[in-house]
Amino acid sequence: MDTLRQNRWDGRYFDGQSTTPHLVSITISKDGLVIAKADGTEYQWYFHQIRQSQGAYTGEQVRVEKGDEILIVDDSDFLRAIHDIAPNRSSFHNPRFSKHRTALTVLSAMAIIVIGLVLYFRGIPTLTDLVVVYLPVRWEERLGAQVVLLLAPEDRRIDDPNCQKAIEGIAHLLMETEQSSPYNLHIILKRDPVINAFAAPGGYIVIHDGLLRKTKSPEELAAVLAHEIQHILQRHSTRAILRELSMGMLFSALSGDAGGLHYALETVRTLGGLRFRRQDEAEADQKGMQMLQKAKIDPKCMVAFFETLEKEVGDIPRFLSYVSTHPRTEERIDRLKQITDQSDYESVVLLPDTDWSDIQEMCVRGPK
Amino acid sequence: MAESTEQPLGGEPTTARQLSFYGQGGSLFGIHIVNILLAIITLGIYYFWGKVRVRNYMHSQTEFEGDRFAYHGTGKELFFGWLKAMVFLIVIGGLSFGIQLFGKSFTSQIIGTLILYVGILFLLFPVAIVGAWRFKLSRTSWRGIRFSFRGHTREFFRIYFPGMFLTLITLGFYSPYFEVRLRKFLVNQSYFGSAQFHFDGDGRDLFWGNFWAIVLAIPTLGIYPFWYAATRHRYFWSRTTFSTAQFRSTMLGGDLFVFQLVNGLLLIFTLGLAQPWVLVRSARFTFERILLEGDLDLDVIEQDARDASATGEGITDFLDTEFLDIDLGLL
Repeated sequence: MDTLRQNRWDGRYFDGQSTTPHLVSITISKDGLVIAKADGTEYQWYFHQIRQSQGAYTGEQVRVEKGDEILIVDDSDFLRAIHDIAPNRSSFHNPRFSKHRTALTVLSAMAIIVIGLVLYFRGIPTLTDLVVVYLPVRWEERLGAQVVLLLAPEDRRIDDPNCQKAIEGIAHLLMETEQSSPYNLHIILKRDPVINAFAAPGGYIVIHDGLLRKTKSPEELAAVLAHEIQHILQRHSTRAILRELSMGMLFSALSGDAGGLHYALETVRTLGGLRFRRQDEAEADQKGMQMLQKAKIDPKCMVAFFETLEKEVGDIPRFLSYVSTHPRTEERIDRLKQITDQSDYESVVLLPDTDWSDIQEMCVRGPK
Repeated sequence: MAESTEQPLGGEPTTARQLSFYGQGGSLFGIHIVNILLAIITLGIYYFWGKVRVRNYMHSQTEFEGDRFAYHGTGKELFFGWLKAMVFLIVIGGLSFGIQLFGKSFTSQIIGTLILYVGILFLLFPVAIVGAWRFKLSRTSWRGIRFSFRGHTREFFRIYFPGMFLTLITLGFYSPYFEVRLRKFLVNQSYFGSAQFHFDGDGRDLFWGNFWAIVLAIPTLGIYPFWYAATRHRYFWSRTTFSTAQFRSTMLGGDLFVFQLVNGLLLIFTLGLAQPWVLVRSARFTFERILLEGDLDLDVIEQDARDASATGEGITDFLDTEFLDIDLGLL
């Protein structure tokens, strides 16, 4: 061992009663420290009674505490000497490990990035898949009712029983392909010129009369309904809520105390949320189309309706496609065309005996 | 700044004393990174132990008269403090949510929402402000002597309720009076060992400064308030004493503005990764501008700690999170 190493150290001792320093000399033994004051008084500090509370960083004083009493040594070689004379005292920082600190930081940073990416791409989708199964449909229904009350207030709804019957008839054809579904559909027609329709959890579908006006045939409305029904069956809104919650938890764990990082992660979270939303839309398009085929409704009408949509409201500019909740209409049309080209299908004509424009007219006008 | 390191430890009278900060952004960054990793692995539980490591570092890099400060809080204490606050929030949140859900009428929606806001603003905040301050002081020491806070939360409520209310309904114009009263309460009951801190001020002295800060905030694109913040800083410290010594602040509005601007740019361009460096810069910036002048006999100061975790105070030392800490710049 390093017996030649100096074993007398100058330090300052504070008795924990006043701020007056006492100059002391310290000797390290196998069991502890012997502290000698100038007047000859000696203190025995055993290693198990004391802890080092400072001196892990270069340039810091070494501070050793025993209750309120403290001992300060300016020379950081003091720690090296303790490790030499009394090895395996892990409660004392070993300056030999200080040089590994940078490596440890880099390694931790890499580990965080890897864990973050894995959780984001695998963990969150898996977690939501697992949890969503256990959420009761009743809970979704209550949530959906609240959302619909907010987004389609009662005084803006069109309540025409005949119109309702026509639309529900189409929806019914689609739902017959999903016998085991636990959801009851509630279709609401809202007076709103914006060309839009949306689904809320638990079986609610809201259709704007602005959209209804633009449909050229009952098949086109069926396409819209199939898309929205898929949002409900795939529980997209509920999954989105779960995703938001778990991403919130993940990112607050990631940013920890570093408050500034929070804003960067918040951006990632918003963009990530939108990416998932676009995936959901694509899934609703695809599964909606399969639903149309199963119900023997011409799936080309979905393409036709998107083309109308593109003509009426235009497409999302390409540079905005990463901050949008929906995929670009052009992409959607391309993808749907591929599916219709690949598959054989037979179709029947919906409502062959009625003129679609009559139904539209009736619905838009509302009850007398 | 650190020229007195080799001086005899009694300290000479009439010299200006200062805190010096030796921390480095890189070291703090390393601590943060390891903390984040461990927090993820432990599902967030380690967060509190990590916070203790950061505070240990910040304290032990702060020096006064040649000796560093020490932090004595533990992760367990912070964790249980947080748990208590969570229980409170769940009770209040549950009550509010329950009333909104079962009442269904418009009035019950209002009452439910009010319960939540009033509960947080008028119960949680004051308790947490005093609790965090008491906790912070009692867990800080220098040369083995502890700081302490001896005020009572009950007294604090008497200042906080009307002060917060008047500040809200006057849209902030009353706030100098409120701030001065808060500071009086918090500083005058603060001790280092047996030596007391003292603050004496009058809200009137800051009224017009605050008035113009609010009125001119938007026309000057948020720049004017920095000058008021500096004025307030100088005013607060010029009226604060410790034992027989007098504090003085040399903070200037322009300095503060440039300092905060650089902080903001650092954070924006590094997506927040520069946070540890900003913390280090902030400690330096503040400590460089606070002087302690006049006679000060440190030798007469004796240990006189009060236990902050005293159960009689109930939930006071809970919720030690950053957003509720009010930073008086003392430590």
